[in-house]
Amino acid sequence: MEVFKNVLCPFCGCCCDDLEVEVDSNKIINVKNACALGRGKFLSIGEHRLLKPLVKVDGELVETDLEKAVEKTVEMIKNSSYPVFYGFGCASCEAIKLCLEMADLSGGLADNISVVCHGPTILGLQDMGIPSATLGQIRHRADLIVYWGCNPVEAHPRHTIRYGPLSSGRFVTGRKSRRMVVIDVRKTPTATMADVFMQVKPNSDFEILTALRALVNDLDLEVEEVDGVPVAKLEELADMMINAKFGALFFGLGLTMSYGKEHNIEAAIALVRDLNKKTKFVMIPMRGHFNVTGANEVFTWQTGYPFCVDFSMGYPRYNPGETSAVDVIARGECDLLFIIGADPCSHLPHYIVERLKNVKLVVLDPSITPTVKMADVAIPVAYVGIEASGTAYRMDGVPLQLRKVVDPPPGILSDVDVLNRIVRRLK
Amino acid sequence: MKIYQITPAYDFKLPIVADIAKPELFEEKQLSEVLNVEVYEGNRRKRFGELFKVKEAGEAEETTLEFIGDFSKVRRIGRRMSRGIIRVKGTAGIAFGEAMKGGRIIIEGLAGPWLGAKMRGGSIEVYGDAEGFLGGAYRGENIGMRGGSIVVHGKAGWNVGYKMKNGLIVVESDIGGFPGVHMSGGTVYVKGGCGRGAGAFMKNGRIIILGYIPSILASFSFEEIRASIRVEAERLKGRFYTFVGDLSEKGSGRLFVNADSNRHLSFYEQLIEEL
Amino acid sequence: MSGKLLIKNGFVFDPVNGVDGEIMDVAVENGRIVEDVRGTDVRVIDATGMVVMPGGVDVHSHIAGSKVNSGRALRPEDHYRDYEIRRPGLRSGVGYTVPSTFVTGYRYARMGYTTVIEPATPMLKQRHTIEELNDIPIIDKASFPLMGDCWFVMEYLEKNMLKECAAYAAWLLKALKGYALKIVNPGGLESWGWGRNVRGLDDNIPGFNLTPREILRGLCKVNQMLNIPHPIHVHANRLGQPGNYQTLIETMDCVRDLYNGTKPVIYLTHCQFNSYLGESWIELSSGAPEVADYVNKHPHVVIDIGQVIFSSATTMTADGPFQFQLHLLTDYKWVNADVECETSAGVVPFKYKKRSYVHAIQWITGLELALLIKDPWRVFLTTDHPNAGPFTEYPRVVGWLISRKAREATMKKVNARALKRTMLDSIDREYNLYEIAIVTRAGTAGILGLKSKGHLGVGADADMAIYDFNPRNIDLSRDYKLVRRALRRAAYTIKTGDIVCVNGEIVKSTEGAILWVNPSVSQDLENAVVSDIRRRFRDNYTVEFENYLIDESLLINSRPLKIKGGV
Ligand code: SF4
Ligand SMILES: [Zn+2]
Repeated sequence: MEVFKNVLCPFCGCCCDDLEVEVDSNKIINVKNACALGRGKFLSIGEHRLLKPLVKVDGELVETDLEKAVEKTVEMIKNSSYPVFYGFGCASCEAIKLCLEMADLSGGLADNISVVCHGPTILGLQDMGIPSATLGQIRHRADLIVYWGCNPVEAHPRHTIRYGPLSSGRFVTGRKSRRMVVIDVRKTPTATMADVFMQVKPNSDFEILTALRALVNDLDLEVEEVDGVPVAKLEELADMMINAKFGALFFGLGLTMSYGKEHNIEAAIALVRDLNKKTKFVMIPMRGHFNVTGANEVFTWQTGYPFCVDFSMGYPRYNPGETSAVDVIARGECDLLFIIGADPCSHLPHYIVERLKNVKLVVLDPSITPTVKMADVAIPVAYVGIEASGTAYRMDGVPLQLRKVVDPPPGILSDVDVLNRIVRRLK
Repeated sequence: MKIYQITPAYDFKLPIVADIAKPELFEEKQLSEVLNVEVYEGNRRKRFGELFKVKEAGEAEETTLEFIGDFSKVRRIGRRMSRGIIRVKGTAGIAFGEAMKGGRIIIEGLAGPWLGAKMRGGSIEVYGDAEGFLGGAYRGENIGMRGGSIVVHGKAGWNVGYKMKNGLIVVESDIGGFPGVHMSGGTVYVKGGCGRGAGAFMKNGRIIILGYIPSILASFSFEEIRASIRVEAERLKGRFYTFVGDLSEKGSGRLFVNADSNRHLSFYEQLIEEL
Repeated sequence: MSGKLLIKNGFVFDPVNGVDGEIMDVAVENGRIVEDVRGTDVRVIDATGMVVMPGGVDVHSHIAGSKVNSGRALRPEDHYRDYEIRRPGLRSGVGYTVPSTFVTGYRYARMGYTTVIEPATPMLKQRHTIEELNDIPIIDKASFPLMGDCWFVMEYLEKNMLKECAAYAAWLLKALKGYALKIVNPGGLESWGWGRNVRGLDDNIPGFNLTPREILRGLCKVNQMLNIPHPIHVHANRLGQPGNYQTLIETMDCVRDLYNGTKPVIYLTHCQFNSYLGESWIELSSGAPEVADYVNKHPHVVIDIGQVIFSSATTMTADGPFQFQLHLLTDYKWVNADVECETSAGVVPFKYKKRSYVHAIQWITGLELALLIKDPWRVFLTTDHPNAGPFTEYPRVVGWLISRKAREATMKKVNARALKRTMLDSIDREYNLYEIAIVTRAGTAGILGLKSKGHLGVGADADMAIYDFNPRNIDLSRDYKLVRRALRRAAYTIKTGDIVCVNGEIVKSTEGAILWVNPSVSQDLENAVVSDIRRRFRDNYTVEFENYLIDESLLINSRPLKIKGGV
């Protein structure tokens, strides 16, 4: 038996890198230190595996070999007048680079799944900036931690322990020396841990953030309540924030995807920014998949833009809403969709999935997903971070190494190897 | 000056960027040259004439382009136009009239998002509905519309007047949330109702809502009740709650809300005694 | 790169070898300068009537890493109008103040630059910096880890454990593939962890029993002990504050006694931002004469100017408190990015306007530094890209240095009050091409300790720039525009023997190397220190020790420099 230490968990944006994986004859038999979600991923890689490349012939998916699947893919990309390359939540940065090269070479559009999760965070940032920090900074210093519209106990299970209220740092040691606030539309398991839980009505976040910010800026409010929350309660919270020595705001889809979207994030940024005039305050988005942050980083350094990049005119163009993959698909504008590290057929709204029926579909995935079942070409790949190495970025932008602990099933390559073959032929 | 009728050569599926299509092009070039101008359809370079049928259709005082049919896939028509007339009998695509400086655009159907984005002058009139970012800016930019006027007889989407600095936007029916967000000048005048977030982050300018507004942001302060407001030559009469904001931005913009359509805001009237 | 090249009849400027515009041939084989090449396979470049120089070496330019990328992401509006279309063999990208990686490589090569240093990388995010450096084509590059406010460093210095501190620094450079020790606003970054700053060299750093002075002196000694080729690279305290020239001089002076007469012991970067006289913004004036006077008298100091260009800029430094102040001053959007146990960072867009009194003072201050410091080997041309302006505007700065007329043309348009309160107008000095070659390549390569760069002697890397203007036929001062144009688009750029650029167009994209240093430390000491670090690592960081290291295989083209001496 072999034990791999310091393994990065390729599941959520926490990117815990202290896992110990026990492997016996190329089989993972145990995973230590991970939460149930992370463990589950390591132990279930054998399930629903896509083992052979598939191509659609007369409406039926039939097995083929890698060479033919690659050839077919290359031909489809070359013939496409507007290919869209989409996904990258669960791909390594190395794979993302190659996809961007494909998009650049073929005059396509490249977008990552942040368009359906933290896209508004990016748009908010482009208007306001963002006062942020790495997670360790919070562990060492934060005496106030606010979770807004996110539920780490269920979605990022080790977050509170490794980086949040339960962590222990140099200047602030442990739960007792920190205050924890949760703001959400329902009482989540995270909320039950909090010192203060503020329940808000759905879609009222913008108004509440605006009121909080006004209070932080010492304005008198002319109303007694804001969307059902008494101003007195908001005043208490504002005071708590101002009086913290170091405050941290974590926010999730509850904020990015509710009414107001990027404006909610702008309001949150403006609040945290103004708090810095009185104390120290930072904020970090709770990114879902383990490498969406990496996708944004690679996109940005190669093209200048974090997502929604359109190369159709020979250079990167950017206008989310116009050049966002989901909008392009919804408007029925692309003729080829190349998916890697995502399963849009399970995650996008039904009316958009309907549109996919008129679009050629290429999918690279380790397992048989609903999207694979709809594909014209599906190519199996290794699980990155388990069967292949690479780079990922934690939710706070800390880059980390994904490790290979077992070999993929025979004949299956990493996404990087598959993409390299495609790119080589496009050149 | 001539009138040109332009129709799609076929049903478009892919996005087309036709930012060169404006009256100046037809004045400066022979028709045969215009037909040879390159335009992107998806990632393919096409000739204008491959995508569009163009025919001359009489004379007018100003060069007039009549787009007849479905142009919803065609983007940025009329970009930076400074004179002449564009008339759309059908549907207009994204960013129609982007950064236009002068002349007139008349859309007799639906318009897409970013209509008149970053407009500087001239006028746009839409008989159907418009979508989001009407007269808006692009991401990261500081300033959207700087001048001119946009009138929409139908509805409009979110973020009307996004980052607007000057000029006039009139929407006769309902609009989405966040009208006048980040605006620093100019007027957004909505005869219908709007969604939440009106005037968020505004520094200056005016927003007038005649219909229903769900709420006023906490960073706005009630100022007075006005009996009339001037919009260009028009004088609106009625009872208008007047708010100042966005105070968190140290803004001094004005949000005027018709009292009669917004009884749920009547509690502000109590503040008058206090004032 | 095995190709043979002969560059014939150019006016060669090679200050390291004392060559000042003589007509000479330069021969290249296997990527290096050789005595002579022969054979039928020699490619001849006729450089008659052109200027031949070593490839440009930029000692301080923020081109890669997390804060640069934050700047890119923050500013889509910076890119919309400036882009590069994909061409066969080349990638597309965007430009202006924070260009994408490919465009960064192409644009440097286009100007005849072949080596560029990213001067501030947080160690915890070094993998990011390396990933971006890998994606910058053509040029060679290196990065400086931000060690000044690193907890391990501060703890060793607190306890006066200099040898251990040196061993740690050595290990870090080796483990993270860094090139030199960077110190930014010493003590200020740790203070910024609490939203505070230090006011001077002798403030106590909150949470530590240490002062900025002790950090500077400690790391300066460490640097000497390890024999690192580049001196400590310092961004001084109180950057961007009126009256800060005194702090700058104090900073220079605090390591004066450590100079042993051989090589400079401290490098102060973008000094323009630290050379302000006056109590407030209204009274702001240039402290360049005072600073220059100090530098002229003290050979232990080297600086670069950080020249302001009147254009848009994106300020980005590890100086978190400064960036916040700038945000408050301008109300522009603001990114802050603190890094646990190490540093902070901030990004704020900016625009330098000619009519602004303060911006004009800044412009003047930079030029006064360059013109009043007599020894060109100790003052270098930078814009602290993209803080004071984009690197693509270097030719404009060269214009101001070689031509009083060029300065006058700009002075006519800048704030008159600023001119009246400074002495720029009274300076007649004009650089010659020999001096330009020093401040843009020979001197910078020298201070970086890059022995095979910055000159054209036999054995040097065949990195060269050929500019199409005839220095004998023109008067630099009068025809500065012609020079500027030639510098913007090199007639040829040669990188490691490859012709990568012809007439300002990139003709070939190559992989530049990543340079890093490998200092020597006795095995026992290294073991002791590494096991100490390893033991305490989890207490400090939220990542595992092993995941902090950068394996050499991550570098596409790795070029380590083994350092002799050490502890
Ligand atoms: S918290 Fe996230 S990264 Fe950490 S072990 Fe669980 S799933 Fe993996
Ligand atoms: Zn710098």
